[in-house]
Amino acid sequence: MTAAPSWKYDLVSDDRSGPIVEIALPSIPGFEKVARDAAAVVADQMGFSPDRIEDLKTAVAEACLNAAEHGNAGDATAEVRVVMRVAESSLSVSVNDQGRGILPRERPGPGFPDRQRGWGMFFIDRLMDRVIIARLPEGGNQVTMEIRLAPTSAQPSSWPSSSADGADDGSPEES
Amino acid sequence: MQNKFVVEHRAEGQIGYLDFPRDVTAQTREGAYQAYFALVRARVRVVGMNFEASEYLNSAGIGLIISLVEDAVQVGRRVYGYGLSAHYRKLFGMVGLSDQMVLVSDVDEMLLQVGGGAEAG
Repeated sequence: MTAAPSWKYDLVSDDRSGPIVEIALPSIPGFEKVARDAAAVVADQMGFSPDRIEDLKTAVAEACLNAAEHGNAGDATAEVRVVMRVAESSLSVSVNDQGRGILPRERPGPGFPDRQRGWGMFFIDRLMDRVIIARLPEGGNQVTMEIRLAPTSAQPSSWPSSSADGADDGSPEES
Repeated sequence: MQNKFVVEHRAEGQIGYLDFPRDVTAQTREGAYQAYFALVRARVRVVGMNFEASEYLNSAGIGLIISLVEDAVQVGRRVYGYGLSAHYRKLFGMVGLSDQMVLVSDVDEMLLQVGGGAEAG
């Protein structure tokens, strides 16, 4: 049986190089903006367009909010950990919570009974190039989002690449 | 300095304005509805949602906007939104808000569309 990865070594992209940025947040509304803005800086440095940076900001904020509100059940002392992995042509952002809560899976849409709630995962799905949701063996949820540089606008990263070990992921949910 | 969760309101004839703050989130809900109910009492027929100061709208904030728009539209009010960035106009479109409200660039465009006539009082 394939061991599920710890949050530190999961990989979404085949690119296995580049710096890693890690942020630990309390599960308090408003702190998602720290991760959101940090992701914007990283993506800007990588050469993403302003539009894609805005998409990433929204997705990261929503993932952090879900982790805090649902995964960590609003426990302000529980941590939301955000890990950003820079690769040559993509940026992956993993958002991990520590709780027993389950992340919402429903996607609101036309005819959805309560259109006022639940749009977080909808935005993440629609705005990111790849999304993987996993339950961590030590407890907690992990949402990994990947955004890819468009082939025509791909630029060499201004950051040096470095090799990084990784583990195969288990059987996470991918969308 | 504007309290970051307070939604200001004003009525000019039959047009009511909701001036949203920098952050539109779950914490904005109470203030938004207080402001909206004030416009209801003022019997406005058009609601203009001003997002010029809004830099951050999360999913709960967008859910709040859906709620307000549905409440207004249900009783026959027309709803406009202006001052949104291109990114948030895109998100509004994704959730179907642009089917229920008219998104324009600024208040001048809103007033042009309203007609400055009957609905302006």
